[in-house]
Amino acid sequence: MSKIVKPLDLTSMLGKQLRNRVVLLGVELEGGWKTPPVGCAIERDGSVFHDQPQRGYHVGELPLGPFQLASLNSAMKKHYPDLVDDTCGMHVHMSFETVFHYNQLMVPEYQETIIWYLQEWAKQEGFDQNHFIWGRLRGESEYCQKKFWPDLQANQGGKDYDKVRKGHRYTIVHYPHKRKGTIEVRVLPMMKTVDQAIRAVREVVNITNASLMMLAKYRDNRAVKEKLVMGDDVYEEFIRETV
Amino acid sequence: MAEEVVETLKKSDTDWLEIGVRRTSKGITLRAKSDPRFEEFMKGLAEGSLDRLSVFGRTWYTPTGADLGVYRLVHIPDSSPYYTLDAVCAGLTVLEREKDYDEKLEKINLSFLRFQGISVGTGVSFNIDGPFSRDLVRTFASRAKDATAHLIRSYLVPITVNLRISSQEF
Repeated sequence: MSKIVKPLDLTSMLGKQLRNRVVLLGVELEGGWKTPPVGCAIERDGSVFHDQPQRGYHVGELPLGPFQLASLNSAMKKHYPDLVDDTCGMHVHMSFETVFHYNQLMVPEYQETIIWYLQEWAKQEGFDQNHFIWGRLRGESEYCQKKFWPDLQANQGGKDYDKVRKGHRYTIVHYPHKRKGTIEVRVLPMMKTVDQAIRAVREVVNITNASLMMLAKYRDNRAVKEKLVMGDDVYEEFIRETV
Repeated sequence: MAEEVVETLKKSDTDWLEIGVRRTSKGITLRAKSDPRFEEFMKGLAEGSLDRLSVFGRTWYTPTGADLGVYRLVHIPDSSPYYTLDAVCAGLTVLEREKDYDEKLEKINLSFLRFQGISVGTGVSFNIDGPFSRDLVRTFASRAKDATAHLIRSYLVPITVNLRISSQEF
């Protein structure tokens, strides 16, 4: 019988000022631009608008970043597309200071937590019950499937477009460590407004920071129960984080 | 010392293989010690020829910086759906095509069994940097042990074949 994975309980953490572990952010924007932002090249993406041209718009994908969280607002407002629809996804990439944090998030609970708390966020934002965001959060989109293969994904050197084979990259949370050094959250669609998009990206970052804190607490409790002794360098970093 | 997950493949009085996996701040350290007969088998596959670990890349490296010898696969064992011996410097598991299967299979990477000196003293140790899920760190040693048992049964365990030709067939 497969284990039922529950989301982490972040109730006590979200909404508070949390220590930011996300060193750099990247956001892949998809849609159509009347005029491409200066100095940017819109890359072709066959999934955007089902690869159909949109009169008057340059369509495709614009990878933004990497940049620090503090630059999120300005980066998004400067580059957000003029036209989006349900074929357009917004992928958030996050990198961390050490592989320790990356390791911590290679647990199925993190994906469940991302799904759960983005659902809560979407309710608060007032998305219509028929909005396509709900299908994506249920894992119904082939571009963000509810599968979990962190180790296979972390070791993949190349990029391919197979959406069926074990270890493919089209999962809600994707771990392209070898290729990009990041964790990618693929579940968000492009939002109608840039302000809502910024709120969505911030929510992903907040959920991630809160998850790291909660997972560290779990590890600490487990360490006490199982008398787990961490390696000196790992333990020192853990202590620095919790002090 | 960080927690190490250790598995030992035993048969009768022989420890065919001991594998230890330990998580570090940068990745993992993998330790392996085999029976001398196992290293002789690997040496036989190589007809004695060796490559150096650095030829395969830098993703596997020893704590001391030593450039380990790796027995060359001159005689390549039949492909297995469970493991691969031909992925030095790759991940702990690899996706490979296998005939008779439609999809790529996730195979345990046993290429570290080709290290020269794996049966000597405390065996060999090497590091792999990068993230590894807790689940993989905890289960790899056990999975590698099972895959090695399969390899040993396929190639090292003596098999007796009795052939009888009846005069009636003439």
